[in-house]
Amino acid sequence: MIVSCKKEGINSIVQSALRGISSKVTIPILTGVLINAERNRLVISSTDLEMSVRAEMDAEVPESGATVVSGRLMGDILKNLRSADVKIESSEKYLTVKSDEGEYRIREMMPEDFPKIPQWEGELVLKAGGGEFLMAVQQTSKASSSDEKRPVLTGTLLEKEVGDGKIRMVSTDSYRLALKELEVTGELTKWEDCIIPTRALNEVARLAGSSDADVEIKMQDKQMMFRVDNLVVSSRLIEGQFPNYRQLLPKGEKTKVKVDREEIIAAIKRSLIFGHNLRFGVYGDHVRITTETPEVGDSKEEVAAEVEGEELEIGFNGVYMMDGVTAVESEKVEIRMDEAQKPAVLGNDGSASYKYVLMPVRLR
Amino acid sequence: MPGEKAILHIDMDAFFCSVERVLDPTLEGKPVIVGGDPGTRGVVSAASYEAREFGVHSAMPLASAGRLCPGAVFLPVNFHAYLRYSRLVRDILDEFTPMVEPAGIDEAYLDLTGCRLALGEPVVVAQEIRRRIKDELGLPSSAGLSTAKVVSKVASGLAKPDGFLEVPPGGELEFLAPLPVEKIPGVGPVCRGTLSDMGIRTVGDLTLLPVEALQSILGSWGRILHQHARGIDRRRVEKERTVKSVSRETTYDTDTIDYPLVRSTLLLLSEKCCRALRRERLATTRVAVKLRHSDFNTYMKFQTLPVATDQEQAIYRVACELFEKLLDRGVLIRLVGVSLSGLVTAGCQGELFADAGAAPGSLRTDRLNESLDQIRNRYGFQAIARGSTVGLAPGREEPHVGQGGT
Repeated sequence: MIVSCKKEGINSIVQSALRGISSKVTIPILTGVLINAERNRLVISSTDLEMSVRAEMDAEVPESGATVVSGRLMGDILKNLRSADVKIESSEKYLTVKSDEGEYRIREMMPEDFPKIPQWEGELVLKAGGGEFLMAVQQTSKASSSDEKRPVLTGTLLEKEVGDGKIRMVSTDSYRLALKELEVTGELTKWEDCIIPTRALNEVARLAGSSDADVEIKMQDKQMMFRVDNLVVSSRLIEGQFPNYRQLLPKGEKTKVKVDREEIIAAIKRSLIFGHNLRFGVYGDHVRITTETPEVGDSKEEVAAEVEGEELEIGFNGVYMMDGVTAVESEKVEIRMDEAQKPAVLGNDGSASYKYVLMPVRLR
Repeated sequence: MPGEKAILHIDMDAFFCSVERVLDPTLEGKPVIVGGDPGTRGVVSAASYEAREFGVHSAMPLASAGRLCPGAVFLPVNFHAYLRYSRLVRDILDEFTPMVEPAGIDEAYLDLTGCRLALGEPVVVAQEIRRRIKDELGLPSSAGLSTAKVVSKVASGLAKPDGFLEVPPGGELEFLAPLPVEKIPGVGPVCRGTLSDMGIRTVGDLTLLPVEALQSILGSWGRILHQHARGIDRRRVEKERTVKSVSRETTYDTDTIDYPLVRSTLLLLSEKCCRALRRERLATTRVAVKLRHSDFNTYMKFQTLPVATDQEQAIYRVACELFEKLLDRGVLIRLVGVSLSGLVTAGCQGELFADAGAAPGSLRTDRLNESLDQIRNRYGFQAIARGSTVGLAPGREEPHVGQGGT
């Protein structure tokens, strides 16, 4: 295999592929990136068996071929090269990277041992704006669980809302739930609702965020496939039943509060210095946030608010509440509460596209 | 007498019923029974003095209470309201002195020793406290004043309802002597039976026994009882303390490889730790299990929790996982322990999908634990047990909180 290409280009696709290598990997071949070169295309792939990344670019390929080398080594050397062009050659168990600065030989692994990486085939199904996709993932992924004992909760539900041309992203760790409606174009009727690992979504969002291109989404061979520009991320689906979240969305509310987003974020940040659990009191024209840690100290803040309905005192985990309010897009945060023991709903002022359902802390 | 210790024990009268009367004044003068509907299988949580005249008492099945006092008003347990009023009472107490030690939802000890200059004679202060609780909250209480916690507690019990009793310094022995032994807090039916078999019926009888004799029958508790019977109580009124960790452990009489037994023990230890947590209004974020083999090698594993909890159901689940990791099959186990650290102000993070049942995190689990605590606060730890822990000997409750240090 012989390839000549721009250093920036190959560096960029190798760095993208590195996102697909798990830090916890134990199988040696999975520390590698698969390099394929044929018909003037260079393709770099990686996988952790759950998720794979495939990045490609144009290149001169005088001699086609395939090899696997350590992803970390390949990424590190490319990142530190200054020359504009590089040439890579595979021979006698070594991949040689040639640049103006010098020659670097990386020990090869057997490409036959590398797992099969799904390729994008056939027509696309759905398309979403890259920026909107990134935003939606940022708004929902924090509510996802990292507890491997409940696999379904480590994923995000992607559910269609056919009439509205939207995909609903839902994630929860059972203490809070985030829901975002993402506008898409394409054939929603063909969409099958599924749960995909939130980690994969985060990677797609990261890759999409650095590009202006749309995100294309489709299901193929029980894999969820995402394509952004020259990148394809595929992910296995999570089997299982997502919790019935619809029952959680309160029909009415006894108390509705609107507060300035920046002000409430700052207030929560200061309160968290004094305690994890916030006592959140709603009064005529303000909310009061108090915290207390015995023998450490306490805090009290008041933030002006538009209040409708009954006065109320409720407890929230401050970190969870922070995740919810920071994801709000509007200038004001709307908080709907029913009772101190029932879930509260945070969201945008005047738009229902984002909802953050937060189970209160029962203060003693 | 200036300079003498002045310890006040204040105890709310039929607290749950009194709160219900404040919330619904039409109940005034009527027999009130809190616990639930007499048609259900629950027990009486509290009975007003009017109901007690019919022979109704706490822990009695509701059905029996219904037969004894068919005219009574039966109410469900509204623990959150009682807790709210308990805090309001506490607020009043705090206005008199910072030296307040709550001893449950409806009682507290106050050290008035240092208050003579600022507030006046303890006898006057005690009456003032009772008056304010009555005037401001509408709740009757009784109080006992003496130089020692145990004597004040006995005195407030005798003063009930709505009364006050002072035992002057030096009069403790004389006051306690004629009382039956079970009036001393901590003397339950078993202890009373043991003493009765020896011909000891009154506190005065107790004082005739040498300390060694009591110690040989009752262990270290015998030594304490020997002092309490004389009106000597070295326990001070303790303000809020900094609790850094809560731990409990059990050494088996014979080393064991009976893993179901060990798991049951973990449940019991989790229960005890969580009960202590709840008493301190704290929650934990870190669980540890300790295992000691018959060769005295000791192993410990920790797990950090995603959210703080004070529920034994959640702790037990984690404890079992840690136990599985520590387990060296075939090796005899000598001791098992549960320790909770990373303590934060109480507050149990609710679970969105848990409310259907008594799953960890759910409100129902909270209510269940609250009820268990209430029963145990009143009748002792062994008054009620989870099925798998029946028969595990928990012994006397040891001091339950680790203070200071880390």
